[in-house]
Amino acid sequence: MVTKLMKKEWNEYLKTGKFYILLFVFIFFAILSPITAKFMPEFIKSLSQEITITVPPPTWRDSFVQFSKNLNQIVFIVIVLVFLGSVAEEKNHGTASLVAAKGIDRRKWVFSKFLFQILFSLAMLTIAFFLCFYYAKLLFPETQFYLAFSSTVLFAVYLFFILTLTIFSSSIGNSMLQSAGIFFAIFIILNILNIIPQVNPYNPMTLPSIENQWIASKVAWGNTIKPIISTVLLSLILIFSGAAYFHKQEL
Amino acid sequence: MEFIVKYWAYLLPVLIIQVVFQIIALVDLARRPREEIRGLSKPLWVVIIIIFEILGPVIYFIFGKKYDAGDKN
Repeated sequence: MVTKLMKKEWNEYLKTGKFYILLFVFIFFAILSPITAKFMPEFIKSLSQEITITVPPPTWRDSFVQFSKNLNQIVFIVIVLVFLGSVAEEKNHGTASLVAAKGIDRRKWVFSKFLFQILFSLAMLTIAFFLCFYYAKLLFPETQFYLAFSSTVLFAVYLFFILTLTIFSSSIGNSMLQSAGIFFAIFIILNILNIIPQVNPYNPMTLPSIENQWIASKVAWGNTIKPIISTVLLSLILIFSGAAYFHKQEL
Repeated sequence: MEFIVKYWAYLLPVLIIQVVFQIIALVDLARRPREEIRGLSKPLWVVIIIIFEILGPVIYFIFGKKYDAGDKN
């Protein structure tokens, strides 16, 4: 059943162009990040010929700091916009009630959507990482695989959380606008909570900053294990409560 | 300009990806009936797809199309 629903989801993504959005955005920023890191200092120098600007020589780490920055800003917004309406828009258009009328378990329906989104996003992230690594290696031969890969794994954990938050918001909200309101309210609250020192080590919002620390120095699993475990737990709570809410919701 | 000439080989793949994405969006827009387009007119969507570079097609695919249960395109 879940496989069948995921296949339907795949066809939907091809039909609506969402497949192209994620494919092109991930690939575009994967290639652009090492190029920006390598050539931006030279580009800045070339712009100001009269004033002397001292820019430190770029390293491979700048490629992945740039990659992480692009993933956490532009790619993040695109992912949220693409996935936010996944349940809410179907409720709005009446497709969700048709699914329920066919006797399909609503919880399975939500899980299949989530499973498809996470598998699809991880596939795109993997392609993007290897492309970024290839370009970084080309421009900076000393590029280290382990550190770069570890920071991308951290983003994958963060992505898992963001996707559960979008599917939760989408299951609760009745339109894309409502879902966006719920999503950003929780996102802002978590960011505010990040300033409390006791909450900080367990907050999923610390993951993006740890990504950069990993690239800059070395992998510190001791500091990372807490936010990873709490992020996974929080994600599971979100996905199960979202599905349970949608199961009982009147369509 | 001198910068672009010097490093064109590195910048070319980025440009190709952007142009291919813009072409896919423009073809979709051209094949889609007016009633399935949301908000703006078709010529305005063409302008958005072209001037906003990689984000133009993203904006079009997310906000420019009407989706419903009977969507066959």
